[in-house]
Amino acid sequence: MAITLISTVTVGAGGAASIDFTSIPGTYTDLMIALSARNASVGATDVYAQFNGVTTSTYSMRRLYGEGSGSGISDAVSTPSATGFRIGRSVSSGATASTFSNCLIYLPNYAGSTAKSGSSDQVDETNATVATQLITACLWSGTSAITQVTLKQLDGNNFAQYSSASLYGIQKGSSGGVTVA
Amino acid sequence: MANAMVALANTTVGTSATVTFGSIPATYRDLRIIIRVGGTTSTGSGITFNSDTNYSANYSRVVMTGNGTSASSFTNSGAGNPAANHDAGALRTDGQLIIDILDYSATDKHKTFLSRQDAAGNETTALAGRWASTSAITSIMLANDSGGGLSSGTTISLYGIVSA
Repeated sequence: MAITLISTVTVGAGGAASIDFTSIPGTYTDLMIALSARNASVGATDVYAQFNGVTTSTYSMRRLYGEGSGSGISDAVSTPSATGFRIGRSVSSGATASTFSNCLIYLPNYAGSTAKSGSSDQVDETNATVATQLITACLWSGTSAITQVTLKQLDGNNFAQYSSASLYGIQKGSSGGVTVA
Repeated sequence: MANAMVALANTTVGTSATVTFGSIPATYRDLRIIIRVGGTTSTGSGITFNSDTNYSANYSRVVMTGNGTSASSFTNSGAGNPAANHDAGALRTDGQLIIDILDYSATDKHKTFLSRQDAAGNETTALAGRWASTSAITSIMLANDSGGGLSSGTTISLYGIVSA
């Protein structure tokens, strides 16, 4: 089969400053991460990814989002920054109890020797006035294979208990008699 | 999810060329195509099902996009711009395109597909497309939006999504 669950991290009591996947093997074609996130402190905030422990200004993004009213909004981190690979948002600690944001991140060719692009889709709905839906294009200019993914919140606060992330490996292949020409 | 996705075919474009997946079996629920763009030329993409090139009559789409400063939405359908009707999203350097084709083997409905196109240096886009045919999809041709070849180094993978 083409999809394999590599690892799941669930934040425990007291929260966690980051969610980390380490020692990611280079044996897959693509990676996918499913993230469920809530901020342990006041305020929703962006969630960003860093790779291989690199904290230099090598990450950028453009995104499109709506917040439940008005027209769509587009913004960007077009000048690379250390926190520019913004994949979505967490839900505020003050939001309706037991609500979390959901975010799906796709990283094609993560083990290649070119810059790494990413795609993410994120939603949160908390039975409140503001809800969010984002789609985001991200880029890390690093050319090393991704072996480590670190997820953090932009405001520096902890992820709340029960926030979770699952890392999947996607493996290309040939089966079923499909031809390519 | 562990058994829900089957790798059906993949290719890397050598020299500029179109890519056609053929003999697609009807045994899955949906199809997913992952395109990682190679080269340095940005183009639109073109998707053609079962060799049906009557784009003005049978293909349409609605697009929502953001370029970092503004958001917009538009449609393409009919004879006004047939080349755009079957565009599944831009192919940008350092970008990717993910296309989900739903109920591709159904013979009682037109086919819809959802695509997500991302390039951090240009834009992020969500697109919904329709192919007005009740035929099961058995072949998919991918080209640029002028019908020409995809850039050298572009990698394309086709997956089948299994129903429960």
